[in-house]
Amino acid sequence: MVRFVLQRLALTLVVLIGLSMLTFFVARIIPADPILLAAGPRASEAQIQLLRERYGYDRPLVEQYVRYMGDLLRGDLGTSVVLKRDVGPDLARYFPATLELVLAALLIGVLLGVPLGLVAAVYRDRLPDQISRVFSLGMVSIPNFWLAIVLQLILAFTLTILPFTGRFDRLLHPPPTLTGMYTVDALLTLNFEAFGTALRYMIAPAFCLSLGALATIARTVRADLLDVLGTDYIRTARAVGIPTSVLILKYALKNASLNTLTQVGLFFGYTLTGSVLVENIFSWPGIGNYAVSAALTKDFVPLMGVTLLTGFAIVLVNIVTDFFYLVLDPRIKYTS
Amino acid sequence: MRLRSLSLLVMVVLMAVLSVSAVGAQDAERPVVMYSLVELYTIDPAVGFDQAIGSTLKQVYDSLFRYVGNPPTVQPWLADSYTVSDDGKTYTVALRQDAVFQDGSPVNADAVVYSAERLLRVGQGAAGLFTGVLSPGGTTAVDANTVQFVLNQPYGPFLDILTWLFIVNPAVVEANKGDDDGVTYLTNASAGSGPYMISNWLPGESYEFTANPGYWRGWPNENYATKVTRVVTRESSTRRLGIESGEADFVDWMSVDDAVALDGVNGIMGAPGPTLTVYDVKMNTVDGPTADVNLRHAIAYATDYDAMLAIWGGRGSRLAGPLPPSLSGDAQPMYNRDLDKAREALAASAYPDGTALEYVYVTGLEDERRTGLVLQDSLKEIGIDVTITAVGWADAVATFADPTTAPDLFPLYSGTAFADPDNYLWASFHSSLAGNWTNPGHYGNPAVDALLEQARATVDAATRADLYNQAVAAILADSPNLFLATTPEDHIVGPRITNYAAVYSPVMGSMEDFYFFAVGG
Amino acid sequence: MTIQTSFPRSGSPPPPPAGNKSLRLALYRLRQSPLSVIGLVMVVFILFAGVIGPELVPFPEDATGNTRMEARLTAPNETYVLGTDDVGRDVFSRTVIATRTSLVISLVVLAIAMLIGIPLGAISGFFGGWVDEVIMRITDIFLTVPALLLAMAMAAALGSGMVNAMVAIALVWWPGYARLTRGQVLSLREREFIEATRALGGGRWHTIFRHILPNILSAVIVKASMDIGFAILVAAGLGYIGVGVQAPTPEWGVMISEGRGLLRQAWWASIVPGVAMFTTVLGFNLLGDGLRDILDPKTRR
Repeated sequence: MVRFVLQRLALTLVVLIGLSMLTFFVARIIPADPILLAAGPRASEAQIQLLRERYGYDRPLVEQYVRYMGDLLRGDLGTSVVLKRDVGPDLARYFPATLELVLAALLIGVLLGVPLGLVAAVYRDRLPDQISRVFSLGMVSIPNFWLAIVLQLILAFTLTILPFTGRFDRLLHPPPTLTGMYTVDALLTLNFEAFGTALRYMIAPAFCLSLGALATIARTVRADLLDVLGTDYIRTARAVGIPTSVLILKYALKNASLNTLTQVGLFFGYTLTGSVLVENIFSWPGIGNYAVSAALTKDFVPLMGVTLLTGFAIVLVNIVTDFFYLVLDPRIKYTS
Repeated sequence: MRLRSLSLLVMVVLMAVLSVSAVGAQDAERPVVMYSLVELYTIDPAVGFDQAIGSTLKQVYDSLFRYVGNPPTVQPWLADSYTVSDDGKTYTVALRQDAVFQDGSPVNADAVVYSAERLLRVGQGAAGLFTGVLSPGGTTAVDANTVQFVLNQPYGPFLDILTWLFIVNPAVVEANKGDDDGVTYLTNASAGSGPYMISNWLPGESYEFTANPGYWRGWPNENYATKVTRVVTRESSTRRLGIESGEADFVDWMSVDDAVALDGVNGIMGAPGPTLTVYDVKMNTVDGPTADVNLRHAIAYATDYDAMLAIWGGRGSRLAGPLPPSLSGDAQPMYNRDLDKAREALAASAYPDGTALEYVYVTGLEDERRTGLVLQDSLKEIGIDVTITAVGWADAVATFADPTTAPDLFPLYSGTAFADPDNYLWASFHSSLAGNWTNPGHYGNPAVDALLEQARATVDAATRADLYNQAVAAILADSPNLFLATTPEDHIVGPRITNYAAVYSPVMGSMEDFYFFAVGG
Repeated sequence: MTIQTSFPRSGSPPPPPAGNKSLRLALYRLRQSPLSVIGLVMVVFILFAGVIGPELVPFPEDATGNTRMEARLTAPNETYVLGTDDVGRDVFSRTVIATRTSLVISLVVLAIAMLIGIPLGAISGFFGGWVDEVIMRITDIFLTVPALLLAMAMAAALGSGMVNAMVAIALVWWPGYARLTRGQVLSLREREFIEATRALGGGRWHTIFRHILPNILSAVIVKASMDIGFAILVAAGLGYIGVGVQAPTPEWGVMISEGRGLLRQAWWASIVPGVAMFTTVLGFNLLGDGLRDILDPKTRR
């Protein structure tokens, strides 16, 4: 098992280096010159040259990459040319917001997806199953950015029961930073008022983001339950007269949870990436929003930072998922 | 358990709702909240140079002169009086004796010299205004309260550009100099003498300023804004909702469609006109089909100006030429839609059967997108195909440098850093700035150059005005731009700010001059 | 991480090759599944709209640069059944014409993704060893790239436009096909008929092209039918951000984005294209879901 973990880590390293090269060179074939933008409209040639040297843009591309990776190993993610700020602290500030949203979305996915799958399995091929199926397919067919707009129109404009955009009341101070996730911080400091506020801001974007996970979890749970319900031991148990509801809750669901966990792990990455558009529409101050503005201003250092961080988070979650799988399911053996 | 947590949730949500509604009825302070599209990436007066930063600089710093009112006039601020030498090259400014920095030390001539030299040394932002006008070493302290500027050449609007020289406290900057002349430190810290102090700075989110009740100049209104919070709100719908709900007292970058819908509802009003903003479509005068002056005439005659004005819902007005109405007087537009004249001009051009042109605009600017669509429709009539491309601002600027990559047609809003024809005409039409973002079409005409240079170095107002009239006539004949509209102000004010109409000033960096605001209720 | 494009079923051994003789069986199954029939009807309708819709709409000129400023933001009425947008164009006409745009984009994206992914996956699975290792690591890298971010960066780098958007999406799409193909090939490689081909002296490439590729076709068709809808969504996402299709070509993402700022004056401008897109994607997903049931007997119970 140690060997498995080490092997996974080595592969991860290869993937991360590949990712950094890919992003770096894609970002640097951009024709626009970020230095021109940063220097401002009235800068002279000499000033532009000065800036170019300060940010190292006058060096050959490969040298820039090596230098970037060197800095990265020391924990320095570079400086945004447009914002004139270090990227590291920015990511540290924005990432918890995105993480909070993604985790909330996955939670919604589980809380709604499992019952939906359960109902579908119990009423297999009957109306509730068909409804569940259409609902699941519908959820993944809705463009999440469009749903976000529709929710805004209904909930914020027409009914005015939820805030329109943002992460917290603009005039109140958010709870003190412990994890950077407002809901968690509020609970940790027993500030239920702040928790409620943060929740109100989070619910609509988190829902929009949860659709993919929700639908897939529902279908996974259904398939797993049907698998288990078809096995001999359940058939036997049924024959002895143990009620189906007990069987489902006691045995089948337990088995299904493993697959659900895998789905949650897989969907972490999907949801993280999908948050870009939703964050943009709800003005959620996360890394997705940060990436969009960086992309539109051709500011490649933040864009690289976001891509690497996202890639890293996805890889990490994949390893953790594998690990849980390994621990929870003794049937699975990892060999080289 | 489930019921309990549910009821807890309900309670929590209820409490949150109640607490939100309680905020409205706050203390006796007079806070003003602004929802703004833009971030303040710095408030270093030697680096920052745009509308939002300009107005924020006025909160924490003072300058020798300041723009006030509409039409804007230059008023002495830190300055007490000034004299100009006969050759127009030496300006001697006497400072007020009562001005103090926020740490209590006096604002003296040494501080002015230090600030001017630092601006030129750092060389970004407003330094561009002084290029060719004032060189390092040109500013000297005559005595503790008198400063002398010796210019490279006479420069008519010198007092106007002095409104962009903000005075920093040398002691504070020196103490935090670092290796970059204090640029890093001053990004989010102030070393000024202005009426507000920074009380909270969250980059990209919000910026809070608290009034200094003992500001050396005093306050123009008893009920001045005691606290100003700029909240970055990128969503225009959220900004609109903010002002409608009363959460925000002031918002910027509102579309005309929103402004029309909001005006007059519950005491909300748009900023009063006229503005100094002009909106043109620049044509590439050096490369491609638009290099042909006859084709440019054809385009100018084919454009549907009425449809263009509809973009601003009747709130914009037609431009007569390159200058906004408050500077151009009662001049009338030279080009109106006339398809016969357009076809005539086209026939005289090298492209009698029409041609294809590219219109490039900045991603996200809806007015510019609509302009492109209307232009596309207009020019179809005379056989010119227009393709519309959206690019990021950085990309666009990068293409300007070389006429072969510069777009055929490019729309541009020009605000003004100072209210003088020089600011518009020099930036847009002097050949030395060809390829700069203000002159993306590489326009250059030796006759126009000469007139502009002569006007710039002229101190006598009547002579200058005449020179500018001649320059405008020459520019119109060349038809380098489609002079479309002077556009309405994009700031919307809520009912709590009671005197905005009276204190509004259309110069860049003056539309948000919180110092002058009177706050009711 | 790639876009998750299909619902997992229990376990996932690949389906056996589908033989032609099962056509009648397939039709029978299709009739058994009313949702798939609904999906099929929707897809036929959408294809109809995409192919001849543009010829039937009341204002075809509104897709090619016409404006009508005097009629901007008109609410739905007899002339403009679904209202007009911010420059006075007919929303109904543009929405219908946009169907064609989206169909073309998604089909081209899938074609490119398959052209890259299937051969790479087949080579990887068939040859194994270091070839497999290298190809799979490259696939891993692309799977880790946040898809939308890479597409955004690429579109930003290459410039906005329909072609660039298609290339950008395809570049993050192919790993799914590479993995699918590799999995199929791995399981096929050891099967008797392949062994027999080899024993009879069939070359490696011959084996791949003549025997393996045709056998993985049904798995690819199932995946592709589900992917069409997702490709439409991603392309619309790029259009929404502003790095996709350029004006005046109607495209749903662009239309939603253009109408969004005017949501309160003219809700129809962004709601109508959204409904059209939702219907289209749902149609393909219903059909794809049904197709899988038909072509993949493992999921039949």
